[in-house]
Amino acid sequence: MKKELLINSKVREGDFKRGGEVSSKLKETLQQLDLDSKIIRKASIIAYELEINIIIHSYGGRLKVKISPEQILIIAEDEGPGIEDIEKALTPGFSTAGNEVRELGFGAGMGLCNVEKFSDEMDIESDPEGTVVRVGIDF
Amino acid sequence: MDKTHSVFLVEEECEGCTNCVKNCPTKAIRVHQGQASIKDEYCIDCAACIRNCEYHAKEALTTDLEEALAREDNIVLIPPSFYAQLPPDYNLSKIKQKLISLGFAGAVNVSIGATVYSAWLKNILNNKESGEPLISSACPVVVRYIRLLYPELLDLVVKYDSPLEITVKLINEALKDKFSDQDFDFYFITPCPAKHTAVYYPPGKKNSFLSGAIGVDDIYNPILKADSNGGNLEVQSYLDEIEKGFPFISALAWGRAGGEEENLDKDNGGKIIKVDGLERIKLVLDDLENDNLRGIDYLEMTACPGGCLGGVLNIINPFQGIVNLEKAISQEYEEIGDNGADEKATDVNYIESFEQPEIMPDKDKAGSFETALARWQALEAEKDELPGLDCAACGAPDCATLAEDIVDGYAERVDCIFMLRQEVEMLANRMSELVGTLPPAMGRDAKEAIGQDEKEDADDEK
Repeated sequence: MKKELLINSKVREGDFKRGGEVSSKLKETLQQLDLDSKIIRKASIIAYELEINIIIHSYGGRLKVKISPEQILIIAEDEGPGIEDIEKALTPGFSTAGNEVRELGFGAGMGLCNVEKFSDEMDIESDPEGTVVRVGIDF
Repeated sequence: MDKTHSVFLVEEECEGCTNCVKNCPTKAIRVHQGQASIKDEYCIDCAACIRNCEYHAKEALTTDLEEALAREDNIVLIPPSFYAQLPPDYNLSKIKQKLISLGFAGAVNVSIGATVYSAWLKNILNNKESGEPLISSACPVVVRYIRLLYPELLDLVVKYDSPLEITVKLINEALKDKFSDQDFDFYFITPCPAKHTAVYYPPGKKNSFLSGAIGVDDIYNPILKADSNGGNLEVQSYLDEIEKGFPFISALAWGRAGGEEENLDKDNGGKIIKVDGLERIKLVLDDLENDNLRGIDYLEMTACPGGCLGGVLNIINPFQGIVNLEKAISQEYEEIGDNGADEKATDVNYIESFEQPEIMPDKDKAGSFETALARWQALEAEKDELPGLDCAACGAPDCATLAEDIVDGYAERVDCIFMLRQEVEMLANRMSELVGTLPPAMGRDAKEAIGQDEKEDADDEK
């Protein structure tokens, strides 16, 4: 069975007011699909972190969510500037977020590390033109 | 009690407006045929509809006072918020005396259970690793709200009896020691419908230790009118002795938002926050769900703004209530004094009887992944059709909910007045088209008419 597209939403750079909107829409959708609450929680956390990452670090991008009977796939695509050192970005506590963002309570450096923790597979491609993060959560 | 909630509709008072529908935090109400109806599996007894109905068509089911008074060995339990409802000269002993002249065998202060709860929790929190915060189980509405809308956070709800259940269990055990041949019944004075429901469906357990919950509004006048003396004080003086063993005065603050937090905060580093009102609770739970809360160990959550003082059955507004409760607390300190019982509560070996909170009927499951996906697709398509004005004229709170009702077969698309208008418009256009069409003999172009007839014949043959 082909993967169904559940969500395809634009995420704007610096748009903290809407931060979390895509992940709450995802949660609602997954609840309507009657998925296990533990899976929904994982997907919410991952979608939220990726959404906030686009807002803080990129020039804007999209969050897509696809689903099949076996898996939820969350894809975050942005238009740069790219992650300089992916390995470092996955270290708990490492953050390149500015003070302004940290004061809002974001950018504690748990983002990508949290995504990895709650995912079953994760793949990051990044260059100065943009970053694509693909995260799979298995049922 | 045949339903799983105590909020009910007084049919003859309902005007069929949609105020309750729009203000329900769990979208549990629909208005159909001029009457509001509650979907049992969604009602969490938060009483938002009772607050919002200007026709007073929503009420709370509570235990009849007469029923409680008819029992012989009946003990009444007083919540801290109740002190704030009564006139200033009603101190603890006066309230108890009045309840006894009314016909109760004894009256106990629920804050003694709160001291046991706090002591247990302090211990848990002191040994807690950092990470996700725990959530108080004291407010049954909050537990139900989480179960319904944030089931994945249910594991964070503290698995311990509520202060009310703790109080009843402790008192009952103590009474059995002295009055072994009597079988006591326990009645709570409730500020909200949820605590009445909790007598029949207690969060986290099969059976409550209580026999009923009388509404504050039902017992208020009888207390004012009751004699200030008389009655058998044998049970009461025994209960007073037990009560003195607990540092219950400071725990009276549990009656308002922040009281639970203060009673915990004394030795803890302040990683406890209070959240009152369902709207604000939603904000915090949303962030908690996204793993976006840091450095918080415990969430005191009360569904009513202002805590139990904000209960819908109370007499006094919650802000006046705060002042009254503060006064009552300092009055008790003056009269009884700090009884030095702080250590005592920590010593109580209370055996919890809390299981998993399974308190509401389960919602229908969609079945297989494919059916669920097909339902979701139908739902998205239906949402695209509907106007998105969320006017609630259809009787559902918003277009998304109407879409769900349509897909599940509980409503039709023309329940939406805009969709109905569209249908009527189409029908009207078709009608005017038809009106403009004359029979061939009266002027339709003969050639066109023949062509038309041939086509119709061909259709018939098919």
